[in-house]
Formats: sequence, C-alpha cells, structure tokens
Amino acid sequence: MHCLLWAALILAPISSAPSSTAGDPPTVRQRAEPDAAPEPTDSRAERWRLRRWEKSRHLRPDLLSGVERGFLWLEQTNFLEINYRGFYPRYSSLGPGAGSAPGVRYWKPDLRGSKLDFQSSAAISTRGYQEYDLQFGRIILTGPPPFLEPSGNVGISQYGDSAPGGERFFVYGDVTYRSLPQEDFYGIGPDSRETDRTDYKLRDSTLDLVAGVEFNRTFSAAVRVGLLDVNTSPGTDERFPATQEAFSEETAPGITRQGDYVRLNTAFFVDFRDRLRNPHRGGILSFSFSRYDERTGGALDFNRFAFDARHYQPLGSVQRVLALHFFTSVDDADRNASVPFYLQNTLGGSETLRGFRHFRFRDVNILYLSAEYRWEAAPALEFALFYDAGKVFSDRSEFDLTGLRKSWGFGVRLKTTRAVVLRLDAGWSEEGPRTYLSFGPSF
Amino acid sequence: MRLSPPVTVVMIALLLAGVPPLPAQRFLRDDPLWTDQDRLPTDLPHVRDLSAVVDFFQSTFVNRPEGEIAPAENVNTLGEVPDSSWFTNRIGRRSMTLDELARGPNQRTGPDASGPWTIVRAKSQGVSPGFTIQDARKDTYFIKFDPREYPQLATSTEVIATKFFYAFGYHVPENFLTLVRPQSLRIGDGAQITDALGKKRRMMAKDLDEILYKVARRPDGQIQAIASLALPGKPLGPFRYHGTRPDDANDIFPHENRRELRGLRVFAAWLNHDDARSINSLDVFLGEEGGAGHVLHHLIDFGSCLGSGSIKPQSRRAGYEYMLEWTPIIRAGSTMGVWDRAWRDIPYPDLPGVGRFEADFFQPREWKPEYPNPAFDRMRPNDAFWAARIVQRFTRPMIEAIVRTGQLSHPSSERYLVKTLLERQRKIVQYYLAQLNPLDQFHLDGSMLRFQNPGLEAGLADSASYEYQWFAFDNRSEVIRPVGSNASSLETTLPIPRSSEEWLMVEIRTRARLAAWAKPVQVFLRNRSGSKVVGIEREE
Repeated sequence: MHCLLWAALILAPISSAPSSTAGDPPTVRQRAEPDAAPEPTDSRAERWRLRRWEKSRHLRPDLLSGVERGFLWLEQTNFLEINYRGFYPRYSSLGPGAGSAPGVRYWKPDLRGSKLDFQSSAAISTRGYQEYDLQFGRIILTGPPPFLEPSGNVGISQYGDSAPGGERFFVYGDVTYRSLPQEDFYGIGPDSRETDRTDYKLRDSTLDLVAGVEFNRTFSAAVRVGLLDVNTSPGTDERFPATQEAFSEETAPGITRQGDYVRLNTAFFVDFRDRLRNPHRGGILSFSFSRYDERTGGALDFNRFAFDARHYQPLGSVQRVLALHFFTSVDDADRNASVPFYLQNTLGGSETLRGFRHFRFRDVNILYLSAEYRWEAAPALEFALFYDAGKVFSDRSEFDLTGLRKSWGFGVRLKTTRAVVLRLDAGWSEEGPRTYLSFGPSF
Repeated sequence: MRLSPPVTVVMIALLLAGVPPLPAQRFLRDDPLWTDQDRLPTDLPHVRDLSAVVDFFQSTFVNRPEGEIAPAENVNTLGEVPDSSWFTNRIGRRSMTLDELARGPNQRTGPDASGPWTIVRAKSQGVSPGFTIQDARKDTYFIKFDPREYPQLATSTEVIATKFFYAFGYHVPENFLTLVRPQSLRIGDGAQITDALGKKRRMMAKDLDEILYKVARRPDGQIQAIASLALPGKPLGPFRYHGTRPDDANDIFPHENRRELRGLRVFAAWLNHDDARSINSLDVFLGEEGGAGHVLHHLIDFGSCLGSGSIKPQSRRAGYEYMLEWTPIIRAGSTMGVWDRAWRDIPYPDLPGVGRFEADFFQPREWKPEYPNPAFDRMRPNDAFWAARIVQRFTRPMIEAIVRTGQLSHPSSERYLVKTLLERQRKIVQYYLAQLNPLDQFHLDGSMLRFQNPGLEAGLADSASYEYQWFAFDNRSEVIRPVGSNASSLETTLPIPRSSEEWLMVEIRTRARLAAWAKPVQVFLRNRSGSKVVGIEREE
C-alpha cells in the first residue's frame, strides 16, 4: 500500500499537485515547490524539502477567527481611549439608583481647525432618568472635565492631558437638562429615620459659562457661572410616598416653590497626586465658594463654603496605600432665607458612608472623614478596607467629632494604570449592610 | 534502535503522508546542515495583522506547554541553527569586527538630510507617536521620537538593541539614529494622519505641531529620532510564536520548537526585551509583483529594551513578573499587601537616557517577558546553551562599540550600560553553562579531537579533567561498541583511536566542581572520506 502511494506521489506531475484545499482563495495557491518529484533520500536538506512539498499540498489561508478580528478592530480603533470623535454609544451614570444608562455622545474637537470643541450627549436610564447636555468652546483635549457638580458638591477637577503648545486653560458654554424621577429624601438633619424614606422627581436645567486655568501641574482654578432652574414634583417610585406628601416647606425648604437661580461656583485646586485617577501618593486640596441667588425673591439665597482634602500615603510600598479623605461644607443662608433641600449636601451612598443608602442624611452643614487601606494584589486588582464617619448638622457650633455616623467595609477595584474602572464596595452600618457597584474611585 | 527526535519527526510525518519509511540512519550525507533552504518560491501568503489582546490570552492560557517538552526541531546534528529565513549565523559562528557590530544591519547611511523630508502619513496617538517620511532619495523611513521628559531613552535604546539582535543573527530593520530639524519637515500632498479613533484624515500643520510638542528636543532645537528604513518586500503581518503559517509551505517547524525563538528568551533577558511578542515581529514577502517569492521573518521595535519602556522608563515589573501571574496576586491579595514584590524596591541610578536597567537583582532563569511566550516557555537547557554561547562571544570592546552607537550624551550613562550588560552577560553565561556539560567547538586536528570548555572561560571552575570513552558507532542501527577503554585527560585534546570503523563516537564527562558537567557529551565523527565532526549530543 505504501509503495502504491509513494509511486503515486512520485508520478504525480508537480504542476498539477493540488496547491490548496478546495475553495481557498487563489491568493494562497502554492506554486509547486520542488523542481523535480521528491524521491527517497539520505539528504537532510531533501527531507526538509519533502516536508515543504507535502505542506504545499494542504495550504489554507492564515485567517483570523471572528473573535480575533473583533479584538483587532477594537485595538486599531483605540477603543479604550476616551477621546473618540464623532457619534458613538456611551454608557453613563446618571446618579445613584438610576440604573443602567445607555446613551450616545458626539465629540468634535478642533472645529474646522480652530481651537474650539463641541460635545453633546444624551442618556436615558432603565429607571427613566434622563440627561442631555451640550458644551461648546475650548473644552480641553480629553473632553469636558467633571467640575463643580450641579448639586453644589465640590467636584474634583480631573484635568486630562494639557493641550499642546502649553495651553492650559479652558472656557466653554454648558447647557444641561436632567430629569431624575426617583430621588430619595429622608428628611433633614442627623436624626432622620430610615423608615421616613420618600422620593421626589428632580428636573433641573443649567445654562453656564465654565472657565478654568491650570497654572501648573499643581495649581489650578475654575469658575462656573450661569443659570440654574430646578423643578421638583412627586417621585415615580411607588414603593415610597412622595416627598411632597410627607414633608412641608418647614421640614423641606423649597418643596413648594420652584427654584430659579443665578449660580456662581469658584474653586481652587492644589493637586499633588502622582496619578490623577489612580493615585498612590500625594494628595489634593480644593477650596470652593458658591453663591446661589434666586432670580425672583430671595427666600432660597445662600452661600456655600467647602473644603476637600485627600491624601494618599504609600506604606513602604505603592502596593499598600493609606488613603484619607476629609470633606466639609458649610452653607450660609441669607437672612430670612433657607437652603433648599434639593441643593443640600448629603451623606450616604457609594462615595460617603457606604453602609448607608444614598442621600441618607442631608443638612446645610456636613463633615465627613474616610480612611481606606488599599492594597494591590496586582496593578489591575485592588482590595480595600474602609472606615467612613460623618455627620450632617444645622448649627455650626456642632462642628466637632461627636455624633458621627459610621460605616465600615471591604472593597474590590479593577483598574488600569491610569484609572479605577470598576469598584465594588460592601459597607456595614447600624442600618445594615449595603453593596455598591460603581465606576471610578471612591476618592 | 534509538532515533534522534528530528529524525523521528520526519519519519512520522512521512508515514502519515503515506510515504514509505526511508532507510533509518542517524546521520545523513549532508549533515551537519548549515543552511535550511526555506526560501523556496511560493505565492503571496495572506496578509493579516494580529490582535495583541488575543495573543496575550492565547499565550497566557492556551499555548502553555504541557507534559514533556520536545527538543527543538530546526537544529542541525551539531545542535546549531542553520541559516534560514528566520536566522543567519553571525557572531555565533564567525568573528565580527567592531565596525561590523557598530554598523549592524545598516547598508545605508540613514535618511538623506540634504533635502526636505516629506511626511507621507502619521499617527497622533499610540505608544510612540511618529510619522513616515520620504527623504530626498525617495527612501521611506518610519520616524519615532523620545518622549519629552526622557531624551534619548527610547531612540538610543532602539539603536543599541537593533545592533545586538542583528549580531545574534536575527533579521532586523535598518535603524538609524538621526537628528530632525523641524523646519526640514514638509507635509506631503495627501499625507494622512490616523487619529485617536483610528480614523484617517488629511494631516495639517497643527498635527505636526502636536506631535513635535510631545517629543524631546535638544538645546539647539533639533530632535533626536530613530529612522527605521521600511523593510523591502510586502508586509504580511507579525508571526506567531506558536504553530506555523498555514499558507506558507516553507514554514514547517512549529515556531515554539524553533531553537532561535526559544533561545531568544536568553537574548531578550540579557537586553531586557520584555516586549518580545508577536506584535513586535514582521513577516515580509520578497518576490516579484504577482510572482513567486518567499517569506522573511523579522524582529522589529526594540523601544522596550534595556531601561526603556518606549514612552517612559521600563516599568519596575518589566522582566520580573508577567502582566498576569497568579502566585504573586494570591500572595499579595491574601496577605493584605504585607507580602510585597521584591522588584518594587530595586534601586536604579538616575542617569539620563538609561531608564530602569540593572544587573544586581537580575536572575537569568527568573527573567520574564510581558506575558508568557510559547517559544520561551519551551526553552530547554540545550536551547539556552546555544543562546548563552552566543552571548558569551561578546567581548567588552564589542559591547562598548555597540553601546556607543546609541550616542548617549552623558558618558556616565554609556559606562553604566556597558557595566550592566557585562554583569548580566556574566550571570547568563554562568547560569546556563552550569546546567549541562558545556564542552564545545569540537574539531579534528590530525589524529586529535580538540574542543573547548567555555565553562572555564566563564569562570565557573578553575580546572577540569575529562573522562572519555571511544565507541564504534553503527549509523543505521545506532548500536555502539567500545573501542579501547575509559581514559582521562587534563587537556582539551583527545587522541582519536586508530580504527577502520566508518563512524566513531566519543562520550566525554567533565570532572569539576559542578555536578552537571558530569553529564555526557557525545561527539560523532565520520571517520572516512574526509573525517569530520558530524554530531554532538549533549545530555540535559
């Protein structure tokens, strides 16, 4: 049998030897390799040549699998880069309890070769939360940075790469509309009860001018000035009574009137973190002042002073980091005016007092401290033990460390070298356990 | 009957192909083979790129070795790698002059600076932004720069590493260190830039400004750059370190079983080339347009070598831990970070253009690339020995000559690189030559068999003696019969017994303080029609 096969192999015209399997594209058709038919040989070179001839009869194109083609496309389009251009789908977070929020974004930097950028996005969550925004101006290269949050909380300026040529400022117009139909409210003050949970719908729209300057890598400042229009109405979560039914203007200022404000936020940052979104050493200080002026009347006029300090201390190695966070905010309402409940600072949730529900405590003044011991099992996998303590209070004389609400817990984070991508924190408090899955760092 | 592994593989292949078994014999008439004729004409293979992510997962989880690792397949009977489309013996087989080492693969003098350089395309993002130019001679070069904060780090490193890999024997591009004057750059008509989304659009002056803003400049405004001459031929995409190209008939040895790819681990460890993976390779097709040709396999992109991590100094992890390695993850995770990686505390000198490169903590056996490499994983002691012997061939003046081509501005940086390379070389040679009997360079001198003990040259022992026994060898049955009795010698010269046998074999054990040297080395001689050494078997 072998002899017959061998004879057939020898006698087969080389030029007619099947050059590839049936159906293969002609581009991979293999030319007949040896000049002469292979013969039994005591030459190693010939034996290797024979193996090549044998292979030439069974060639097939080196095609990638569908999975590999998909990954290749993602890599070649820099899928993980933030700085997409044009329209693209985006997953957004529209706030606590909003659920998944798919959306789209349009990002067009350097319009017509100018230094002006344009961005707009829209997102609707599975629980009916909506957000639409539009920015136009010099926004900085990596897209509009989170800045002073609409609620008035101090947001940390997350500067990305500075613009080329040493440009270190941004200025842009910002129009935003949000509809948050299931915001929780438990009452004002440190003694609010979990059983008093209500919900309300918050709709706000803003028209702002935002500007900032990065003096150097450490010092920067920013300002946001514009109009803020807030409407509240009964919430849509049928499990809980509407805030408007359970609370009055006395217990929830602003609940019976719609807010229409001129707003000014200013902030100054001293940033000496080693990495902006995945810090291992250094810290950041921010000081901010905000002014809210009702356009009609003045019953809800107030000033806000806030201070935020975060420090990251490696413990002998960047694998072990002690992260500390201190935040305080003090609101100063004008004479005969109040701070509306929907603009008051809150404690509880995925970033503060993680053993409590989102928005669990709110008042005009807030004091918050948090410590995390973070350790990296790998650069992309971090664990953390945390302890949070904080309180809300109405009288500034209560600015002390008594009466703090506490929570503690354990966290797991997935990171890139640049940023914390996904965070799972499990916290415990006097009100039981809570689990939060979030994007971005805790602080 | 005992068959050597390459012979066994051939036999099995032929049997499977329905070919009658050839007459069995250990050594064939053209052994030892010094050229693998793997440039037989073929049609153009499929052009395709590879996914770095898939390569990572396949290399980390799928293509890991299981069971006993087969010996390398593409070696000759002396254990050497024949010249091929993958490898050309250079310093391993012949002496190279200092000029030759410093010139490396370069046949030209670099981009022609007598006229403007026309940018034909660019990329604004990526590991190292750069562009493609045509010089006055219409030669095409890829231009890459140093990051603004780290002058000379990536470009000097790339030039130095290119020279080393060329001397080892690999096919590499012609890489030139050059100075770019921004005013001599001209954006060509129709030049396109690939933006962050991978979209191509027309390149504008501000794109060039953006790229040049990010790169390091000299005080005189010029920019040091690496100019990589486009490889001749049609690019086909990277090669894999596992399997073969199914559309290239010349490619018959699984890449993970190629000695030059297994041994690349030793070279990569010496130069800290942690980025030795598929995407840093390139196959090109050399042939006439639409006609037959062959594939030539290259290593490219040496920006992540020595202390350079291309856009910054090497990460501290580079060379010491895979990107994903379970043991340290579990240790660090379960001990709340108390257990820590030793490499975090390795001190590095603050020298311009050097980055993170050291020799004190370096251990050849422990060195790791970014993620497992299927060929590296399968490196056996004989593969490592082959590579370590090549590493050993570099003398101090040779290393100095190559490092000098990096044109580092600071002499202290240059001195440090040379010192560190010498120390890493010492560690590599001493480690791998201690794993088996290192006798080498066997050759006949009249009635004597002469050889060398590179282990002594490496300082592994002060002295050694050699026990040996001659045998008559039947090349077909592989049966051996003693000729004479056991003998011993203090010299690296053994008398060949008078014998009418066609084949002789001598088994040598080295007696010294290293136990592994007592493993036998078998040297096979063809004793008729022009005697010569035809085979070496080194027990692992």
